[in-house]
Amino acid sequence: MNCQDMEKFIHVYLDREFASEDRADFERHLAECAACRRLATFEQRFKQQLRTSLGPPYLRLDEREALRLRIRSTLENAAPRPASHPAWRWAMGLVPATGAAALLVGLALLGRDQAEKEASGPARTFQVESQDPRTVRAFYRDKLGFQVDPPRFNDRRTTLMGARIGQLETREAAHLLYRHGDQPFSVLMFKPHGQAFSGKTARLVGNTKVFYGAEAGRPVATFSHRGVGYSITGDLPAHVLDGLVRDVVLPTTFPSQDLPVDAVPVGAPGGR
Amino acid sequence: MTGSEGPSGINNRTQGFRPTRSQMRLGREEKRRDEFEGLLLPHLDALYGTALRLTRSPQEAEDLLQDACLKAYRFMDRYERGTNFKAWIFKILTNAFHSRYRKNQRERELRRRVEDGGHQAHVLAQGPTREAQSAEERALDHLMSEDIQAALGQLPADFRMAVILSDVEEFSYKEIAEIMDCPVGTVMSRLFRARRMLQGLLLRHAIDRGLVEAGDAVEDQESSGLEAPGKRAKVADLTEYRSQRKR
Repeated sequence: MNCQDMEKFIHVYLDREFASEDRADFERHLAECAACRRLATFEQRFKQQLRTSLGPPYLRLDEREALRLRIRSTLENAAPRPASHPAWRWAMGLVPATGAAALLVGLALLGRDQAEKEASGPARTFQVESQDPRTVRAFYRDKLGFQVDPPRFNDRRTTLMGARIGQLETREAAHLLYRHGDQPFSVLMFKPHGQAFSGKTARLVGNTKVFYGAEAGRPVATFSHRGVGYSITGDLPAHVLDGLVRDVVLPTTFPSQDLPVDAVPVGAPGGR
Repeated sequence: MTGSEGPSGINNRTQGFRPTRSQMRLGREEKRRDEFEGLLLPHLDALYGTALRLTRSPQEAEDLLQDACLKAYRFMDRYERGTNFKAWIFKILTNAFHSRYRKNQRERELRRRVEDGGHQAHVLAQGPTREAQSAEERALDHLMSEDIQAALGQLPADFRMAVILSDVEEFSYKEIAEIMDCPVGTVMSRLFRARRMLQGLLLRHAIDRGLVEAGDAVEDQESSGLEAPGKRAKVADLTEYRSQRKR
């Protein structure tokens, strides 16, 4: 160990990163060499100065508390990453017959999309912006492997706004964006691929079994109609969502032409 | 739904309270959040401080921290319980910082030049030689925290990061390598250069403010008598620089 090595490795020494034998070498040299001792003292002081000048305290107590609360509210408004959720692994097919759970989990993605939309304005999330179901249906043509007929709602305050390709589990789904008054919400349409929907929170609405749940603090209603799955969700009170479910009008057939025909309310024919 | 009579199709409202699946889900969510907060809070100040030194703005520091916390929360299943949470979340903070400021071309350019050891890097990284040490030592006594913070702010982000992680947060080189996703050798060289650059900047600052005499370093060199010829050349450069500044 000579003076040049000392200069090169003084930080490694002071940061206590030397193996013990190197350290001993280093210290032997320090004991013999006043110039290097001076260098070491200087560098040590400099390190301390950095720590004092750059280190805490950064925040007053009240600032810290405010920061904590802000982070807490950020977390409360966030869904955990869906793929990390144990239920998500069911959804990937490791545990069979959990259709409803899987769908609810999948909707976390939808929730996240919505959060993004709120943050960055609708322009980023719409792939097609239109109140006309025909335009939206045309947008989805040949994209998803099933025909997407945007559901209608009887209530005139509920209008279609646009659509995009969304994601459910590993598959693409139709993500339709609506507005009820000035409250945006989403309808997800997808092919259930034979999953049986089940769950304790099911209610019979008309003759359609609707599964209610919540994802990321948002209520979700899921049901299937003529081979297509529907999920309705949004930052809405549960009773508003319930009202939407009762109000939705689904096509009785999936017409191949562009005009919707024979649209009927979900539960009307046949009663309950 | 239209046309339903009597009590609507909904039938489980009258059955007394039983937590629904969604309520149970929310309960789990809360537990998860509490656990995360429990892990996070002991490091909140350190994380904020690091974010502050990196972004150099309280507002941006807060945004960055929120961003990092959200990411950490979403990826929490990747954290192995019982392992080093502090290092884990600092890594997420670092990544969040990089992805936020990735577009900052100037920053990247500066780092590249410094790491390549180009001309400008040489000027920046000159720092003290032993000859200048005496002046350095005196300068140290006069420096304010603000001066040191300002000097740190002039370093490229990765260098700032290395200094904070090592000197303030006292992570080991191995942990820093893990956090910054680089080899331990890179950590060592970043720390070495960063400290040298800081010392150089601070000495210049002290000279400019008249806190130490520009001549000190040279006198020192002459009196100590241990300099090799190569080192004299270095000091000559620094003297030249100083005379330029004085004009």
